[in-house]
Amino acid sequence: MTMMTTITLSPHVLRFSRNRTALLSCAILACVAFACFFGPVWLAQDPSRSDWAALSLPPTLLGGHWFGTDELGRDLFVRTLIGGRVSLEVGLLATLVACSIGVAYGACAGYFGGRIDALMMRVVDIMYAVPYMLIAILMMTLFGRAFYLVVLTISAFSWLDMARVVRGQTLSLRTREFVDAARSIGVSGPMIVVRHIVPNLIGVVVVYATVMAPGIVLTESVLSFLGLGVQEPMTSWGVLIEDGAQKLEAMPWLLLCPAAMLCATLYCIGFVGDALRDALDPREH
Amino acid sequence: MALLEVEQLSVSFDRRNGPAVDAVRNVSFALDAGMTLGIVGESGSGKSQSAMALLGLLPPNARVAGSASYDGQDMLRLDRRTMNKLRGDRIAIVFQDPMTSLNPFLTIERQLTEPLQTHRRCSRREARRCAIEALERVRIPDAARRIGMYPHEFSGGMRQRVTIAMALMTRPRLLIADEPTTALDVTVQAQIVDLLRELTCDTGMAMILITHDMGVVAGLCDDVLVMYQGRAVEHADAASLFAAPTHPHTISLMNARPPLKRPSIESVPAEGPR
Repeated sequence: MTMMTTITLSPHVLRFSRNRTALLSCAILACVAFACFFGPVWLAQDPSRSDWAALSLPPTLLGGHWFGTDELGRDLFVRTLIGGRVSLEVGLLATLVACSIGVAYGACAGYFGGRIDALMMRVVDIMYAVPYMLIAILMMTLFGRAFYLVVLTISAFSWLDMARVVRGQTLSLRTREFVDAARSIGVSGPMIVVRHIVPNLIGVVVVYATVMAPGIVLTESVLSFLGLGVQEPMTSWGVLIEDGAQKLEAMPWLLLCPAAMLCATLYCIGFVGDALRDALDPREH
Repeated sequence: MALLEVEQLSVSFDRRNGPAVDAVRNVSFALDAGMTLGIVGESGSGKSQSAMALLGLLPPNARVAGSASYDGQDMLRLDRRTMNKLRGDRIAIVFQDPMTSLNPFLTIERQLTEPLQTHRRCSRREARRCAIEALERVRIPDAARRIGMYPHEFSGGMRQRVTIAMALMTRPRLLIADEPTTALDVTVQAQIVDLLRELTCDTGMAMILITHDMGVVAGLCDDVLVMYQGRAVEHADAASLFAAPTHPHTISLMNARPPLKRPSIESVPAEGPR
């Protein structure tokens, strides 16, 4: 097993590490994650504590409030870091869950085809028609508020697109001769999906996941607005941006600072995704 | 008793609009262990579809009639699980185009060891050793290093060797080679034909060779079945077929081959660059 992994993995890792932009992006992402999870501990500052001497303060490097403060005098830098925890966790987990469900579902529908495909895709169509606000509110009233519910609700809707994309790709993959070759070896249908179809999907899935992640981070803020996500005084990037957008004219930094953090993160994810796709495709050099 | 006995095999394809297409009509043949049968015919004559029907690889709209008994089992009426045990283990197939019949995302090792993983219980290390042996058997130099490569790093002829090695991993008793040389260029074709001849001799494996190339048939086959428009129009041993072809289609297939003894080609006198 170990032998196998060193042989098949190392060229991928090598190709990935040759991409400077991706390495830099990884470093930035690591810094952001590190800052979000350990920064507030290190600063030892309560994110909901008000600095009455500095209400609505624009960003200053010397005043101790790097990102400024909001109208309650709360330090925006600490709040952005704290908010990043939620956003990063939700973004990562929900993307993973949505990808897994979408890939499994789409690959099965596409490979087995015929009636199974028709039935499975009609289920997806029906899910599309259900307004997700309704489900979100329903989930909240039924199960109360919890972090895993946010992830669950978001993934419950995000996998639909992934399933469609993956199914389309699988439809063209299953007519390829190597699938016939695998069948002629006696490999069973489910094993063909796992061993032959899914590896060929990696490019599409990685790219689509990086497209999906930003939407997921922002959806979390909508859910928070509905009361399903995080509540004051806890916060997330989505919530901060939402609030900041309403005070854009008076206090633009409330929008710009958390938005810059989000954008930087998303850019980096995009670069990493691109590099991953290239690195995982053996035909790329 | 013959290893494989095909009786009155017919394949037709249902169409959504229009009548069904009869691709293969009442084809019968028998194949003894260790023998090689050539199925020849122009494209569309139903030779590949017969092979696909035997292995249960036809699309869902195909209807198969007749019987094909392999070792006393009727291959056309096996349930999926028994069929999966049979194909790849006792019966293997090599496809026409090695560019598409290998999975571009998997290493040669993963693909070579797949038949073993599917049909045998053996450790990864053991499977790897078998795979390297198999590559050496089809004369791929430096097999131990090449096994970690991907299909795109191999040339066409080498890939066809890989697919042949893959088919032979489980030491099948019957190999179906579906136009194994068609997608390759002429010099490589000759190598693959030689390789197939050696392998069938060494292993005592029976082979069904599907081709439209009479030259390949002459080099490899004991028996020849000529197909035309889905029917078997001539069935004879290779020597008598080539000595005295009876069906006009057989004759035209032979004529489609450039004569072996032709006036030696004179090189064009060219003026080299000065």
